[in-house]
Amino acid sequence: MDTTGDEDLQLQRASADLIEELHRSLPQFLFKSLPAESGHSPAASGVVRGLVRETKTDQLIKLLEPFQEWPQLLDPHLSGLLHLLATAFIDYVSSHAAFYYQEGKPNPGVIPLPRAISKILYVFCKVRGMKVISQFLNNEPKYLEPMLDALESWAGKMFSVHGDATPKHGFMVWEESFIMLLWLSHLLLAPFDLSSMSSDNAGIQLRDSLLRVDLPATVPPIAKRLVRMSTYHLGLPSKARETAGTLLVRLAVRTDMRRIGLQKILLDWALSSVCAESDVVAPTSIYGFIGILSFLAGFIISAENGVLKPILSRTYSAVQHAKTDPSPSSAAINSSASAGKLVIKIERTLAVVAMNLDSKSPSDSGSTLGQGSLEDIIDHLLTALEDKDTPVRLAASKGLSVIAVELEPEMVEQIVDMIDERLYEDTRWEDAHAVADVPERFALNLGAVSALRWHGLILALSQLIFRGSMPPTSILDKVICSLTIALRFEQRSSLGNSVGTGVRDAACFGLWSLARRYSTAEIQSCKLIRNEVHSTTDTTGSRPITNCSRECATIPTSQVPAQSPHPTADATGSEPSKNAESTLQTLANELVAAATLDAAGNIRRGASAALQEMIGRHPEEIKHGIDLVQVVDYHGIALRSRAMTQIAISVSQIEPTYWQSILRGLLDWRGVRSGDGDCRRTAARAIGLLAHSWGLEMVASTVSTLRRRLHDCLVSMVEERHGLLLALSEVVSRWSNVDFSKRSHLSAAAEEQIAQLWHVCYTGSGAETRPMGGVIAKDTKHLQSALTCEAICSLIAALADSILDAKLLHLSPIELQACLEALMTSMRQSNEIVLTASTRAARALFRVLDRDTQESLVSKWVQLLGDSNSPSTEASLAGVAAALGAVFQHVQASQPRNLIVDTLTELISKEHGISLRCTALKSLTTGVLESNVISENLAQALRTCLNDYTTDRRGDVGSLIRLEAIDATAVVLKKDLLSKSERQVLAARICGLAVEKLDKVRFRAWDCLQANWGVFCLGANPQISISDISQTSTIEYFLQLLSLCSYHLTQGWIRKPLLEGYVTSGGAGSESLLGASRAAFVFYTESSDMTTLASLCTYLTNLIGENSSNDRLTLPTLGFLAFLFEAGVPQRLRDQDFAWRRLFTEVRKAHFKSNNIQKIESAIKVYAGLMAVPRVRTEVKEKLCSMLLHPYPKIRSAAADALLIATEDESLMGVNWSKPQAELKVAVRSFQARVGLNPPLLDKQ
Amino acid sequence: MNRSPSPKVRVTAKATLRAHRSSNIHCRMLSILRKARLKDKEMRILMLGLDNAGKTTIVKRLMNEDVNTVSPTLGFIIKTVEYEGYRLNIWDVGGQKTLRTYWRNYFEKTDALIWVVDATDRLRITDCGQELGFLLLEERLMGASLLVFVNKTDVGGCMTDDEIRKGLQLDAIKTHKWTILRCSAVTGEHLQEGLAWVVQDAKDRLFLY
Repeated sequence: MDTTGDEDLQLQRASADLIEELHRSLPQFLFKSLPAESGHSPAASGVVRGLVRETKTDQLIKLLEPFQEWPQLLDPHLSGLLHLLATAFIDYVSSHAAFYYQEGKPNPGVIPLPRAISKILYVFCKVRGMKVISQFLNNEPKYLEPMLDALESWAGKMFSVHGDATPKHGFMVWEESFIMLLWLSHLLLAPFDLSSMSSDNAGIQLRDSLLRVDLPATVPPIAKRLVRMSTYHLGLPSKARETAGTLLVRLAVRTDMRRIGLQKILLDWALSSVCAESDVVAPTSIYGFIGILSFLAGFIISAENGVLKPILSRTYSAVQHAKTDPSPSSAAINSSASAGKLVIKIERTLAVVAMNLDSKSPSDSGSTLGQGSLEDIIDHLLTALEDKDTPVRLAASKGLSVIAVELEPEMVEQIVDMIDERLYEDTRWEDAHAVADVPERFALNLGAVSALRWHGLILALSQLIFRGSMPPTSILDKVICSLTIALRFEQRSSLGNSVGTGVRDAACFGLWSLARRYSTAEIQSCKLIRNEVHSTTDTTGSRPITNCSRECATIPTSQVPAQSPHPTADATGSEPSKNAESTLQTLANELVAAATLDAAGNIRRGASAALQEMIGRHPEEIKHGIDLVQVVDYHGIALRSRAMTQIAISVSQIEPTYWQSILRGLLDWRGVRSGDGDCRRTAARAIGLLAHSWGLEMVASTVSTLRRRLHDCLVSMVEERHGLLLALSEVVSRWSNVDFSKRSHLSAAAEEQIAQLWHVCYTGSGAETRPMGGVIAKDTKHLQSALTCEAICSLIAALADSILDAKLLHLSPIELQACLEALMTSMRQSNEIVLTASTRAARALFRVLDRDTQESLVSKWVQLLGDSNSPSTEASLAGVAAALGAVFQHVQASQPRNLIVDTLTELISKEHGISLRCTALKSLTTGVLESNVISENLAQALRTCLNDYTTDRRGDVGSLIRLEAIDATAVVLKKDLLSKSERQVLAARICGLAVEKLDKVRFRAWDCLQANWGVFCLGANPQISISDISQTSTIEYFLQLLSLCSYHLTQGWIRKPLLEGYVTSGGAGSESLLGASRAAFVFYTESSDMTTLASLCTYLTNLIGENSSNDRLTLPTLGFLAFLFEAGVPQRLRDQDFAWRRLFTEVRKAHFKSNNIQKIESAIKVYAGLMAVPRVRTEVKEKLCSMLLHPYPKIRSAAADALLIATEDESLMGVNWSKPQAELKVAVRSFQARVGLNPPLLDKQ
Repeated sequence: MNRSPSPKVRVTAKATLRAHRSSNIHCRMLSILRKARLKDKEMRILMLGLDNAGKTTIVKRLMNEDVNTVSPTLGFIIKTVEYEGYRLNIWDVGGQKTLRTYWRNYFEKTDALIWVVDATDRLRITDCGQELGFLLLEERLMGASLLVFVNKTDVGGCMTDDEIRKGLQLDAIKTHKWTILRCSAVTGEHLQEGLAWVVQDAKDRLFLY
């Protein structure tokens, strides 16, 4: 929902860095051997590079691309950056052009400098527009020919390469042609005759040029070459076509080219190509056709009327021909967006020029387009407004407005009428009360219209306003009305997502332009009323509404009595507006809602910009305008949730009219009717705030409005019901937060309304018993929906919380029953959000229930939990388990209390699914332990949970339980629930978890320790406190925990559990964890005495011995031990009284008959270390020797390595240990003999 | 077609708004409105006049560049001047007789025309008036306002405003909004005032803030 957050702000902040980086790296990128001082102009002193790295180019491009969102930030730096790039390019062209193409083995990753510069310049063009960028390109005429030479020779290489020669640095890419053609077109602005700039170089002939006309000899060679180059590129499918068109146009409109007739030749060629039968001489590809069209369009836009006069009708008929030609190639053209756009551009210009000429010489009718052609063009543009392609719609709307500038106001009115008619073609006015009781008498149903068509039509209206070609007569009424409807346009696509952003965007543009173009009086004289004369296109046969004047669907009749200081949400008896708001005020109301509530960030910003214009240009017309502008801040509305819950509320406090506007918006698709669940939740929160933002008086009326909407909500409208119910619960829960003493006499109404809400859950079967307004749960099926469950539960919770005197005064048994049933259904939903809501509801309800009901409910729920054992039903029991714990604090009798504790304890210890156990444990933590209650069994179960290492397909799912258990332990420790020794046992276990390999577990466990450090009796706080998860992978962290083993107070009970966790980090952790934990351990042992070291090693030995059947611990322990031996740590005990033999035996047992290679390898490393201990050396040597014939080759060679290092017997080196065992026996025997071992030992293993 | 905004736009309202707008200039808005606002802040200004009138020197002075090393403009120069948050793209085209036929190539979408007159060049004042007269007939300059810069007024014995008005027949111009300003590219006198007039005029016509 908040995807477009503060990206703008971030870009603004980052932009300085990005630009600095560009300024810094660009000179080095382009030039070599730069002097160190940066004060000098770098271009003057450096030598331009020939080749650059492609990756570096991409890096520079990445620096630029973010500016696409915000091109203005680049403006102050354009000159400097572009000057560098242009200079480097020119330098290259003048000195390195011949080295551009080299044959040889392809050398990817390195590209010629012009390619890199072109790619960068293209990004500049993309960001800032090529017209702006071209201004910064060098325009000295002397570069015209070198540039053209380079382009010709580089492009020509693509054809002239023969045989198996491969380009070393690849061929020219389209960005290069794009930039060079653009540059050439800029150079053509030079005010000198081309003949004076042309050498006699005839240039290179390119294949496939579109131009099949021979140019006369009077045309200077350079012009011929330019024509050839641009017409060649016109037919290519690349983007270079665009700049090729620009170049050809520039050439054609030049004074000297017209003089020598080139202009006429080019025009004739273009027109005949467009007219030609598609299969004869016309271009074969659609690209060529588009290219020629783009030349034509560019030409008639740039050329002067005098030049155009003779060719107007020819061009017109050519375009008409292209449009209507039935041949297949034309069909392809007509379906192309670019061709469609160009045709529109040409037609638009033709129409404008023709009108200009006609107005000058009305008598000379021969020069115009011909009878009816203007109407045809307008008609075509109107049709194109509905085109499926956005570029076509944009061009058509702009074209219409440009033509309209020249038209008589009456004709513009006709156009607007036509647009209006099309807008409302598929719409239907409906009785508003049938849909919702918003204060409108009629609502416009836009469900059947096409969003694309609306976009085009609204955009056309906006463009007409923007260019000021809309006469401020009665049609402006209609137009403004349509704009306000469009500002709220929204449809759901077949996939359920929201469409219509474009329509709203166009509406923002229109309203923005309206504020700028028209005077206050002109706007104020508009009436936002639609007068429908034709009957509605209602096919269903419901009563047709004819000839009635209806207020624009968006415009509410005001209910604010003139003197009333408060808005009213109650909107039933809406009288035709006696004191209707002014037009500007109404528009401001609409814009306020759009600016704060719209789903798209762009629309919120667009609306806020339009609002600023409205207020700034028409002062004193909009209530508290300046306050409004200050609140609806551009940055404030960037995040939607913030816009809805903060900005919208602040706006509503300015004036009642805005309050109503916001409420209306929140009740619409922008709020509770949104398709997005999170948006509905935010909207509900906003409504809750809104209801209280104008004092308590508004609460009752808001609730009543919401209830009425709920009443009208159809069974199928699950989403809206969800939103409305949540909104109600927000209003109610905020109501209960209001200090009782501050509730005024008016609160009775609110209390009454809120009490009525209990009926919401009432599902009674008999219609006659159903109270008015309590008919939401018309069908129990509603409750099957998770959304409804969530909302109902929230409401129940809010309602129960609102009861002050802990008694259900208003609740009849049957209503209570309904509530409980709804709760029950919700509790069985296996949805996280519903679970939270139902738990809250259960807790809130229990607070106000009497003893007996509590008891019966508890036993019912316990029974539910006991009944089911299959995993499928377990998911649905999570809610019950969570609720049991949640209600614990409110249960008064001791018998059900014990029942709850026992049941939940049983749940966490039994073989249930992980998620159910987690829920139960959490439920115990928050409900039971927090209430200072614990049982013997629970403590026992908790210890088990701390040690849970269940794994399944998903991996270490036991970690979820461990995490919950850590939280539970934290509560136990905090509340001193157990005896000191018991607590210490738990804390020791947590220490183990604080050094285990999972980051999440470590961090959570440390958190628990840090908060309860006192349990160690070592002071209140640890020396190093840690607040970030990444800090739990550092040496300092591990040292701190290891140091616990040194204190006399703790060492006894902490060593074993700590080591159990430690080996998983030090033996099987991730790379960084492994490093940190191992280093810490080595540091620690270095600083501790022999006794400590011996006891640690003993613990490790025990670990191996106790867990010999459990790979989870043996494997890392062996690995850790292997590391310790490699680090020479245990060797320090070589001559001490340490149970070496036991260690050896345990290790041997651990990998006995194992087929886990990793384990055996670790064991071999341990053996290698043990070889240094005299007391066990012989046995170890024997063992290793036997392993020389191990079934796994890898183990054989590992054992050989270990022996080699220990014995330095070089005969082991030459042996290939991957040979079959039988072949190795001889070598092994001879080795054994050498080291003095008995052969019979061999075959033991 | 242009309608001026309501003349009674309150100063207070505008002042408050300006603070907001300046932060909003860089709005990121979808498509059309955003584009419209982007173009709002850019102007294209064509600077023409006879050769040796001092056009390039004026541009250089505006850009704070060295004005002692100016040579005749062969071709044209484009410079962008930032003025009160507006980007003024000044197209300075050479004034030699041979180049004048090409002036029309630069008319595209011109917001303002700056005509520079050498106040010391009494001999060619008629010539100057004639060239200006031709320009003002061009249909594609119809929408542009005209600023006449009387340059080199720091030199003694130069023509007075009245002489220039008469020489150029300025009072006969009905098709364009125009003004005349004495200035000096060497001292920089009145150059900023000239830009101010151009921007203010554009604001009045084009609804810029």
